Amino acid sequence: MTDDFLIRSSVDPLKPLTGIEPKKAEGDKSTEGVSFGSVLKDAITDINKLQNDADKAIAKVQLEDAGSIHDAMIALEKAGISFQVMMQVRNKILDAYQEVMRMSV
Amino acid sequence: MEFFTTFKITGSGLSAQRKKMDVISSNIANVTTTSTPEGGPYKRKMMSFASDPLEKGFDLDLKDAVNAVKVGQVTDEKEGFKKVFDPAHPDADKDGFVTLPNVNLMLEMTDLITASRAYEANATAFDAMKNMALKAMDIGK
Amino acid sequence: MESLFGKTFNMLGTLMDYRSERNKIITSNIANLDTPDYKPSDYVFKDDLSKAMDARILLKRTNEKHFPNAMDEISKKDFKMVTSEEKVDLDKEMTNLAENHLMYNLTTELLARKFKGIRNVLTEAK
Repeated sequence: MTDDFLIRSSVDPLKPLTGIEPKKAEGDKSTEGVSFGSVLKDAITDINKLQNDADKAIAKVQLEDAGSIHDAMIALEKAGISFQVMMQVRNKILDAYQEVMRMSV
Repeated sequence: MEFFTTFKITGSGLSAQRKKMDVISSNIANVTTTSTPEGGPYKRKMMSFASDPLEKGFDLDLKDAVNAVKVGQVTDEKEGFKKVFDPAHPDADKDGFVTLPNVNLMLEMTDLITASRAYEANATAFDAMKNMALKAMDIGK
Repeated sequence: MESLFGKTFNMLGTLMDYRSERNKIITSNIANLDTPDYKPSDYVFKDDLSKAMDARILLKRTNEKHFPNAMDEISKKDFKMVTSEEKVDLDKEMTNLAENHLMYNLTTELLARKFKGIRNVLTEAK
């Protein structure tokens, strides 16, 4: 849900505050560049792919006797690190969300 | 893949050299054998090596260069027998000559040293590979 | 996520592949020490790799979705096989074995440290 809203950066003082609104469709993308939500989705797809690559490399070494140890180790390490990145990003998002929620209106 | 292949290659090298050493020991042990079941004195045995190409799907670049080794053939050397005059010997022929095996001890000893040097080289290659594989497992640590 | 890792990882990974292939060839040469008429081979860089790296055109990616330029990375085609005309020289092969072994271990160590560096960044970032 945190990726579903954009905080309005400019507020017209004469209009009543409308507060936080749900993200509109493609129109908003053009003004804000790539939206945060799509970045997150891409990241998750990437991580999934890295995990799959690691699994494939492991299967190659163990089952087919065709891969090499270092390929499997490197793939595992990459997948592990990406996952950690994801976790850190998630933590930051949660922290940011909690900060926002704490703001008194 | 590469370490299983390498183990096969060095393993083949080790066993081929060992067989060669067996052949050499047989020659040394029989240096004065003057009668054998097939008749005549002991004939020196020689072993040759042959390369044994590995099948498994390699890059075409590497295909010819990666070979194990195997025993080629074990043959008898048919010449170089010495005749010694010794009528009292149980295996003397009608003229009193005994045919001694064509084994030259010096030659055999040299071959033995060469074979064991080659054996050691293969063993070192094996250790190197094992060490590399173990080290590769440290990537994540 | 691949951008996290940078070019050095690919280079190190390719070099590890190179070292392990070369190891196979060196051990074949050693095993065939006494095989008559066996010609030893070696797997070497095609040209001076650092020069080759500089000479490559580095294309910029204008959009995340474009494929990365494969030209600026080292790959399998930078290496070639050479076969010598002489018989196997045990001393040369043992030297190559030792060198290859050391370089492989070095590459492993470098990779491990690079990964550890990234992990440190992740855990330290507050």
